[in-house]
Amino acid sequence: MTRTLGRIALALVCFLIALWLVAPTLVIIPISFSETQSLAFPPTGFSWKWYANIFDNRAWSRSLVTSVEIGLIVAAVATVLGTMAALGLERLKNRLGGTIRLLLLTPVVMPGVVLAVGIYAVYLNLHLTGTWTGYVLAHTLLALPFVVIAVSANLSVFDARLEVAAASLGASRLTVLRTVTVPLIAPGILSGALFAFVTSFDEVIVSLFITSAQLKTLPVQIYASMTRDTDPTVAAIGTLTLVVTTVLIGAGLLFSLSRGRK
Amino acid sequence: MMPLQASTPETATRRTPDRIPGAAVGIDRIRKTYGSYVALDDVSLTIRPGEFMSFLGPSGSGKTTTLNVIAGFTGHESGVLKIDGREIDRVPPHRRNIGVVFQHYALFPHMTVAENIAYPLRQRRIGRSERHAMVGAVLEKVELSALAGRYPAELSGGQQQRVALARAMVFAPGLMLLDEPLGALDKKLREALQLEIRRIHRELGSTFVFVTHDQEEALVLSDRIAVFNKGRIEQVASGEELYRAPKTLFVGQFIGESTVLRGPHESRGDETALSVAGARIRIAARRPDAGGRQCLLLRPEDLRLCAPGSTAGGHENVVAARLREKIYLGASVKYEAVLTDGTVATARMPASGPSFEIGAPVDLVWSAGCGTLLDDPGA
Repeated sequence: MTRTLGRIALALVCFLIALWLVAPTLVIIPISFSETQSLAFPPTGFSWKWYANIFDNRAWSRSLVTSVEIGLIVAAVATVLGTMAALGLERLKNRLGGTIRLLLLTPVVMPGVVLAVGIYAVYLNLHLTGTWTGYVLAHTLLALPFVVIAVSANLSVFDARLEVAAASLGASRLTVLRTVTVPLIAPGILSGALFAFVTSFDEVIVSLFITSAQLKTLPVQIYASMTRDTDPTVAAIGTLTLVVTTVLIGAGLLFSLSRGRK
Repeated sequence: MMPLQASTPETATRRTPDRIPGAAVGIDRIRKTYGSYVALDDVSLTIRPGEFMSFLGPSGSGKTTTLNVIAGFTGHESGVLKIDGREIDRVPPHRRNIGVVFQHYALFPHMTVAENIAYPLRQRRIGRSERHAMVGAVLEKVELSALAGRYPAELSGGQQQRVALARAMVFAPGLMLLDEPLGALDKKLREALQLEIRRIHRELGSTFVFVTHDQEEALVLSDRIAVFNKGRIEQVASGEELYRAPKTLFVGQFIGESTVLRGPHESRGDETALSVAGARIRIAARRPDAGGRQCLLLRPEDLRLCAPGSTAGGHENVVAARLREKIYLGASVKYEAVLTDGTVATARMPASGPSFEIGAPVDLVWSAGCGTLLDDPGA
């Protein structure tokens, strides 16, 4: 009797915690279908017009495309650089390697605002504010640690003796990397790339500093919109992002599950 | 740079690794240190074409380091390494064209058995159909044709090692290096694979270098054995010669069972006399150049047990001892007897002979022609 009661209590607590974690995110879904221009919950009426607005309103559609494009470039650049760094650090197992690793990871612990001010100051002199190069450089800096961490975690369980074996079979170092090392640490590289994309797509502090009227990322546009007026397009964009990330992560999970079973 | 052998037109058209000329290996005064630790102390060795050579020794004796130097995985500070007369010290491992089999198999987990075996052929730019035929032939050789599509994780240890063997020999290297390939397998499987490796060596014709710390394995497989100790080679000889005529006490004690008798010695004519545990021992051998202390190494079958006082001596040596252990081994019985100076002697006699009880006093008897007189470094 008491055991059943305990189980019910436990289930209730778990449910409440889950609700507390997820509810704020889920609230935006109904709001995105609101008929009135208000972010009030519960919303009144039903319409798709805020979704249509993403594509009709140039400011929204452009910032969305910009964010996706910058995110993809950052993911590509950070993944290549981060993977190379992780491979190098794996072989540099001394004090110097440890110091370099620490330096590479500082953007994670550095307060975003401090970093943003620094980047802004440097960018002003170099005329990089409001440019593609500026965004990609800043976001790559922020995304790099996640790639290094993800790839390093995979490398630590990778059997480096396989590289020796491949060499003995006639593979040059580059071929070994291409045919043995990279395929075996691919899960780490992929999750690093995903992290890098999300880091860039999500980044708001630095972007706010280096933004310009011509080149705006989505988080900056959302922030600007929220401070100016109440526009349920924000909720529509949020819902869209939620669906896309859920699908991506779900697919990733399914993929790793099916690989693990093999 | 050395061209990859199998990529030359003549060898590329060969479908199966039929008989190939074995490579000659020349190791000349190779030295390798890790800080103050000397891993290889001027090791020199010549391996003949087509020979099956084992590197035998305790762990840390330098046998695996020597193998890694030959394969190119480990650099050396000084000395010259030659394969078929050509210096290869500066040739990177992937251009040495040596087949290597590792103790831990080192199969690529993301490739099937067939893909693993095809890997060295891909590196040599061998065409698809050719590759397919060569993989099929070598799989047949190791009797794994049915498992071509499996992944390494789905195979047993013995199967994995046979795949590793197939992968190392599919490109018909003149030299195969095997680094304790059977170390991770149980005894029965090990014995079966030993015979398989012997057969493959015979059929293939290439030179095999086999690292092991198991003397029995070395004796079963090898034409010659190089005994390693503390970064040096103590002796290179056939198994029989190592057993019957060891050059150093280490070799004598490492190979097979032995009894070592120590004591002051003196040379007289063609003989040497040794005072052991109060008895005077005659040895029909003389080492005029020997300076320091000498010892006599006897094999268990050299020694005979007799009831005390039952032998008159004459041409035979007699030492009193007390029986400590008696082990029945089927065809023979192994006895351990303790001499008055504490030395433990091991004797092996046919089970059909006279029997002795544990604790009984016995005489150890052997002829003056038996045993090997050696320098005694442990003195």
